[in-house]
Amino acid sequence: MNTFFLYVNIFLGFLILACLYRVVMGPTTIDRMIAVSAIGTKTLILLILIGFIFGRVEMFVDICTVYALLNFLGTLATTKFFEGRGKC
Amino acid sequence: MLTTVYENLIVQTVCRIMVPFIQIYALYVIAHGHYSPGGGFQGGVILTASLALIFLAFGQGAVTRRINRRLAVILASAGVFIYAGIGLLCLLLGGNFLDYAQLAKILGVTIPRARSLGILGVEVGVGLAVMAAMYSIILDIAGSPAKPETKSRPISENKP
Amino acid sequence: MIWQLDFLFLILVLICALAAINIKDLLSAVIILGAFSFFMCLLWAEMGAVDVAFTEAAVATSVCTILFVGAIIKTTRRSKD
Repeated sequence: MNTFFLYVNIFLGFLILACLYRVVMGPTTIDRMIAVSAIGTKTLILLILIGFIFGRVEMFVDICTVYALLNFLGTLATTKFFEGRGKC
Repeated sequence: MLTTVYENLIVQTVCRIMVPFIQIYALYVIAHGHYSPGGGFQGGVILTASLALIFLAFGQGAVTRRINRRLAVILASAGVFIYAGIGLLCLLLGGNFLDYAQLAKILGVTIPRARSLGILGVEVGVGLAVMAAMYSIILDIAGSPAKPETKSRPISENKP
Repeated sequence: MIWQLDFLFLILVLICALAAINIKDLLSAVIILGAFSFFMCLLWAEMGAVDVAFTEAAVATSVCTILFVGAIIKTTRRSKD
């Protein structure tokens, strides 16, 4: 079972690489914001699968709950920047 | 610019739903610091995140009405006072600084229970101090300054 | 310490750090630093340091981004070099 979770982790890592292309290369700022939000969702799953590989899931569930609750504060703070200025 | 009110119905409704859950989760992290990852500092930062969410969604006036700058300074000092107070209490009762076993004399419980209660008290103090300090840092960097007090000048001052 | 995951996360961290340094637009650099903090948290959790990963998750997600954006609003948005 451990090797199956390990291969799922590596596959998720390659999907994160695909999202990272849009973070690095995105012509506008909003592209980067949405791509970072998508990476945050994949990070959650990756953390729980690491917990399964180590054998103690209950410790890693706490970290995942923090990310699930607080993931959107960064996006909110960045859009506040555009509010009065337009897309400059 | 971060102080303008973000007059969007979706953001304000989501903020109203999420803030109680974030605060209860922060209290859970503080209380279970000895067993699962977390503790005083992490719980304090999550409490600050809940206040920052109100600050972003409703503006600086709404969050200042709940905890103003003076109350933040008082809370930070109260957190440090709880931490140092528990340490000094153990010192006065005849042990070392932060030697929780001495608390069993005034609380009347067994020694392992006194140690557990001492650790819980110290974590609460740390969480309170961290929340107030980070909240005041956010208000200083990302908020508009408080109105400076104007010195009163005499009316009859005429320039020649 | 699983060496395959270690290798993968270190490559992701390297890509993010190089991108954050070389971009001239400071707001995009702040967003890339947000992604950088995700990968640091994963790296520390994979090494077995769960408390450090928890602190990184709590601090860098909520407080750091607001402070950086506040600093950029009060100064310039374009890097001078």
